[in-house]
Amino acid sequence: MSLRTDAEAGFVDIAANALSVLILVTIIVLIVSIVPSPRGEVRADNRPALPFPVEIDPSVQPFNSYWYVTEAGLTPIPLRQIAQSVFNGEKVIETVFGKFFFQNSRRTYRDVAEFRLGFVPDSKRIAEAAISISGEDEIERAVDQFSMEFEESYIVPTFFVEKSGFDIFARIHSAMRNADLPLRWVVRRPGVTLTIMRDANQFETRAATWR
Amino acid sequence: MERRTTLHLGYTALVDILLATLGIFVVVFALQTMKSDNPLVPAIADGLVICTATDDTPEALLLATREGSEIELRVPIDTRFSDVMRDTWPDGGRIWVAMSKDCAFGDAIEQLRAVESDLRILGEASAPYILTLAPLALDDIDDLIFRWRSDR
Repeated sequence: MSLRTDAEAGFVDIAANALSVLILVTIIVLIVSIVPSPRGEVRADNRPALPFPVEIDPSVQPFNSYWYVTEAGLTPIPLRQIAQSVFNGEKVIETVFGKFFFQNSRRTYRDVAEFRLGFVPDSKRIAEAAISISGEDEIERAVDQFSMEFEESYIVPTFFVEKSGFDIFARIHSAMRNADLPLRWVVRRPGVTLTIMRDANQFETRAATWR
Repeated sequence: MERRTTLHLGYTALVDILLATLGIFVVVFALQTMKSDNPLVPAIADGLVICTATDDTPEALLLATREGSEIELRVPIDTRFSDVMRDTWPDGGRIWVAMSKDCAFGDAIEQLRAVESDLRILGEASAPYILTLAPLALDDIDDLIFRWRSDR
C-alpha cells in the first residue's frame, strides 16, 4: 500500500514538473520566434511623407545597368556591345558614346568577373542618343522599366550624372525612392574618366553596413 | 491518514500546473487573435541636411527634432562638420542629405563622403548613423522641408 502511494506521488511530481517545463519552453519559444522587422522598415498604417530609402543587400551588386544623364535625358551605356568587341579581341573600344579601355595592370588577373574598364564619354553624342525625360509620364515609364528589371532580374541601375542633367536626375531619383527602388549614382565632372569595375569581392562578400 | 493527505497534496499540485498550462495557451491564442498585422513601410528620416553652395562655399542647413521641438542650424561644411552632426544627433539616426547642383559638383560632396565614413567609425555602435545622399533641385527645397516636417 505504501509503495503504491509513493509511486503515485512520484508520478504526480513528474507530471507536474513536465508541465512546468512545457510552460517555460512555450514562453521561451514565443519570445524567440518574434519576427524582427527588417532594418529601415517599421510596422505602421501610413507611409511617411519622406520615406528613408530601404537599401538592398549589397550582394546583388554585380548585376547593374548603366545610364548617362544629360539635359537631353537618359542614355543607356551599351555594355553588351562593348563585351562583344572585347570578345572579338579589341582592347580599346571606340563607340559613338565615347572610348572604353581596360585599366588593369599587366599582372592583374582579368576575366568576365574581374576587370576595370575606363570610360571617356562623348557628352555631345550621348545627348543626341538620349531617351527624352521631360514630363511626369516619361519619368513614370522609366521608373516602371527599372522596377520590372529589378523584380525580374535584380538589375540595379547606376547613373552617371552630368551637371546639365542634374535637375532631371533629381526628379528621377525622387520617383525611384518613392517606388522603393534601389539605385546608385555618381556625378561626372568634366574631364574625369569614369571607371566601371568588377571584382571577386562584389560576388563573395557583403559590405558591413548598418542598414 | 497522513498518506492520504500526502496523496491529496500531490494531486492538487498536478491540477494546479495543468490549469496553469491551459491558462497560458488560452492567453497566447487570445493575444494572437488580437494582434493586427500592420504592413511594413519605410522608416522616417530622423534628420535633414540641405547642402547649398554660394560662391563655391558650401553651407548646410540642418533640421532636427529635440524634445518635441524643431532645431534649425546653418553651418559651413568643413572639417568640423562631422562633430556638428554628432552634436545635433547624439543618438545617431537616419539622415537625409540633399545636395544642390553646386554642392554635388563642388568640393562639398567629397567632404560629405568623408563625414559619412567618419560617422561610421566603430566604437560608437550605440549611436549609428546612416546617411543617404540625394540630389536636390533648388526649386524643391521647400517641398522637401515640408515633407520632412509632415512626418514629425
